[in-house]
Amino acid sequence: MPWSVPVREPSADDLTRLAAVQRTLQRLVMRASDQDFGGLSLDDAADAELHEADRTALLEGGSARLGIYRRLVRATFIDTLRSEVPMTAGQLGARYAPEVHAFCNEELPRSPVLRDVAFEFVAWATPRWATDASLRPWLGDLARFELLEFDTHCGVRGTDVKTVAELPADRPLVFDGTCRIGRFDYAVHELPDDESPLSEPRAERHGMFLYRDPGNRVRRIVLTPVAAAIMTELLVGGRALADAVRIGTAAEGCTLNTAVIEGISVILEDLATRGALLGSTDSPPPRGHALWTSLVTATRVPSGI
Amino acid sequence: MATASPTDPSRHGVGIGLRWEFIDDLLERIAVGRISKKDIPFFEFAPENYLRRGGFIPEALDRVGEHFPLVSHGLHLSLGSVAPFPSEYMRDLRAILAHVAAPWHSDHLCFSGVDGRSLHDLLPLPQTDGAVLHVARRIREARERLERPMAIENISWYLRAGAPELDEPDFIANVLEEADCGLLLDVNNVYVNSLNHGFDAREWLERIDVTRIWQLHVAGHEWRASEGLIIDTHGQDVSDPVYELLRSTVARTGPVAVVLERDSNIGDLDTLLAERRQLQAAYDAGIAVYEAAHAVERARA
Repeated sequence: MPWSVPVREPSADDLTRLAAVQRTLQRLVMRASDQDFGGLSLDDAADAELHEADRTALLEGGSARLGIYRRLVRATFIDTLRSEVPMTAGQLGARYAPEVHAFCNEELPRSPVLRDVAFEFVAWATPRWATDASLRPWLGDLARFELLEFDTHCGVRGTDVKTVAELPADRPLVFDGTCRIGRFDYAVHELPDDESPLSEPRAERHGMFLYRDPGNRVRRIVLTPVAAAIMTELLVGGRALADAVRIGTAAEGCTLNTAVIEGISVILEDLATRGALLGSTDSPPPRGHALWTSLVTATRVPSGI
Repeated sequence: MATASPTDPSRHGVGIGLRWEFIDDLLERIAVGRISKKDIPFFEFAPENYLRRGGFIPEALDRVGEHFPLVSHGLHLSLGSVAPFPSEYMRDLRAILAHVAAPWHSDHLCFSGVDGRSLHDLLPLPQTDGAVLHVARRIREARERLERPMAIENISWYLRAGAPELDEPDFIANVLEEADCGLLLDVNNVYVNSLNHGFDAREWLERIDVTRIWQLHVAGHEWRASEGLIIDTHGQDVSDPVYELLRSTVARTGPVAVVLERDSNIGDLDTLLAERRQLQAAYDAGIAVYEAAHAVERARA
């Protein structure tokens, strides 16, 4: 597309000056305190690069005005996060807003997509919550579970990967794009959906496989820890079927036996029936692997894994 | 000479920003034929809400797009930022704009983060010659990468971002010229800024080259005593002065796409449609003035 005017470029000095203004404004948003904005000072590395005229202009509106974008930005995050993790926000109660403020003080979001901010916040917050004795030990599980459901709701259906219907042991499996998996220590999925601060979930290690059905409803399948470990290797790790079973079983300290193979076969068959498992990749198998299908046909007893 | 506006008559008149709050009602009305382009000429959507997303929401957008023209209005190009555009974001944005065949794409004359952070707000740029050249270069880059004509929107701003070398109309005019792009003129933002910063909104608007205006926005605002400012919340009805500015602006532009933005206190679809009809009446009054003026010009010619 031709320009109708000659193109002029900014100088290096132009960009340095502009960057200093932008970094200063962003640091104002990150300030821990909503007070003392008059202290826009030469001590600050970003402020130090400010042109004196720009510093004077920023301060002209008064110290209270310097905090306005801090307040607007954080109000947006507080509202948006509450809409994506409402039960977690409810459990945090009066601690909720201070947690979001702490996230803004230390980190700030990185994704340009607003709905990603809740994922960034929870990834940042859950290690803090895990060591905070004043919070319920299952709060991190609850936040991750809420996001897992939300993520499943938003997942793009289908796949770009070419698939074949057979499931040889030496190939990764291909799942529908809506499939997600999480592993939890508490049965937070059993909590009433009413943000009640008094509810307590059972302590129970388990996995949760989620997908979206053709009617766009999110469906959940509760898995045992060993099944969750194997399914995580398949879905998230993208490992070949045999590798996923071997690694997942070992990670849970289990013996790889017929019961494990039978159990995972039942799960995979169920997922295929539901349309969540689409097949395996059509790349040619490397040498040295027995066919998964031969293992499956050799054993027929469903297990409880 | 400005690049010709990519607008077309199917997107003239007053449309509404598409929001989740009334999407179910809208889809039901579409399904039973109880709403058509006679009720609303087009919808504006925010592509960031549909990026990397499947399921009901993008399916709803497709359904609306089958029955109404769409225009896209972005939230996070961060056109003025000194940080590079995120590649994945630009790729996804280009794909969705191609998917809906958006005739142009607009975003704000602002920055929304630097050094890898995203503030998800519209922060002002310093009104300097250097900022003009930088943001114009970025707009040209965005146009190339998104493969669509670009328009920029004037923002509401609450803090002077550094020492100005230009006033706002000149800053915007220079960006439009350097980038050779369109203007999405937010009439409410001009009004809000005029109250907060003490200038005459009509005089401000008269300095804008109408041949650059591809689209208009109108919205509501509210006084925040805690800030001592009018804030552009998009949460109230459009105020009478903004109606008047819309009418006088359309009297200069002629037929153009106008969008009613409502992002909080949205209410039901019937209430929004009623406000749209009131805005359409103001728009029609402006068009009547425009037509009369051009009829006189034609008669003289």
